[in-house]
Amino acid sequence: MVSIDWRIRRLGQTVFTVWAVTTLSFVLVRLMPGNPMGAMVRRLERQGVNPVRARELVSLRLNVDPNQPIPIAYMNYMVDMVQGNLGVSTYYSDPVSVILAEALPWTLFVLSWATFISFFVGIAVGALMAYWEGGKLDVGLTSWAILMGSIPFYVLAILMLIFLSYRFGWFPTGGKQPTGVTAGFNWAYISGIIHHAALPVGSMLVASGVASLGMRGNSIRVLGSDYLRVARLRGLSDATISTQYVARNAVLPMYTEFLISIGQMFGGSIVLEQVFQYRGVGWYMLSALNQRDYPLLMGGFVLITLAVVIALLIADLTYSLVDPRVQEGGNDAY
Amino acid sequence: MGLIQSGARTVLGMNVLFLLLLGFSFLFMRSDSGARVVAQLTLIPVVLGIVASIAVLYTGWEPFE
Repeated sequence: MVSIDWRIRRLGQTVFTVWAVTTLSFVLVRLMPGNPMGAMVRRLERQGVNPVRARELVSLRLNVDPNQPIPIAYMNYMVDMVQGNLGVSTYYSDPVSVILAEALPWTLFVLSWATFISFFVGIAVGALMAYWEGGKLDVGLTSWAILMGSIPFYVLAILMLIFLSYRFGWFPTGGKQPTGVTAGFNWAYISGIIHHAALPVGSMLVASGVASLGMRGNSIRVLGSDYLRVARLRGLSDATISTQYVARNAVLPMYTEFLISIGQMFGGSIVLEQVFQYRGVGWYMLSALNQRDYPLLMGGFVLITLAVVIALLIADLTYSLVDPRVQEGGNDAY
Repeated sequence: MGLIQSGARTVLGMNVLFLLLLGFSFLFMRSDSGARVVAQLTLIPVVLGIVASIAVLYTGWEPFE
């Protein structure tokens, strides 16, 4: 029997996952009640346009054949996807790739800072909590982390919006960039961007509480292992045990969990960006859903799917570097 | 491999992902948009993270050893 290198097999699984999710997204979007024409006709009718005229306008605007069979639409869509053509938004009349390319940096700006801070704060605080297990610091920080972990980030986002923006006026109530300032590398614009992103980043930092609890739990679990009892019996110092034995093994389960959580964060950005009216990928996804903008909706799905799949692939291909026990392959990291 | 080495590999993987997504954005975004500014601002921590994690991995820096 021919043995295929596990990396090639893993790449094949990745391609299959992308195809399956793309197909599923296409089917699910098509199964949704309503269609883009209906949504636009209803919007025009609400504006007082005659229903017949509204249908004519929408037909002209969309420039699509609504009677196109779904298998043909699916084939056309898949061919376009392979060619890197995500189509044209029916609502914004812009190429989907341009809309997503313009929206993605704003989402990444929030995500990159939130994950960066939460990961390092989480590990540092979790390690401290485990080291002083049972002490005042551990009890206080555990209570705080449980409280933060119990509050959904979007509830925290709304609370922050009410108090820090509407009541105290410290932060803007919505938007992603300052108004009346020319976009460019000037301090007024850059500080405005940071000011607008502060609350979304702050509400996502709730994850640091969960990360610290995870690190604490992993550390305490590792602390009870047999090999640590042996290490103590050998007379090794607490510092050596905590850094050489505990931390190394405690960080391993967090590695994959952290990369998987990237997908959850992209999903969470849909709610978060709606709360703060922060026009990133999530905001456009919900807008596309409301407008039945199929190309934009599916483009967003595919983009997030690719992000998650690539993240998992990176986790899998590099896991053997973190944990030598899986170096010979055959086992997926997740 | 200690905590710093493991953490550096995680940071490297995360930042490579962000870099890929930013690469997609740079390919398709308009040249005069605010998105280009924020993409370049996002690039700073991402590139710094990659450089720092590669430096840590290459030198095998482990301050607790």
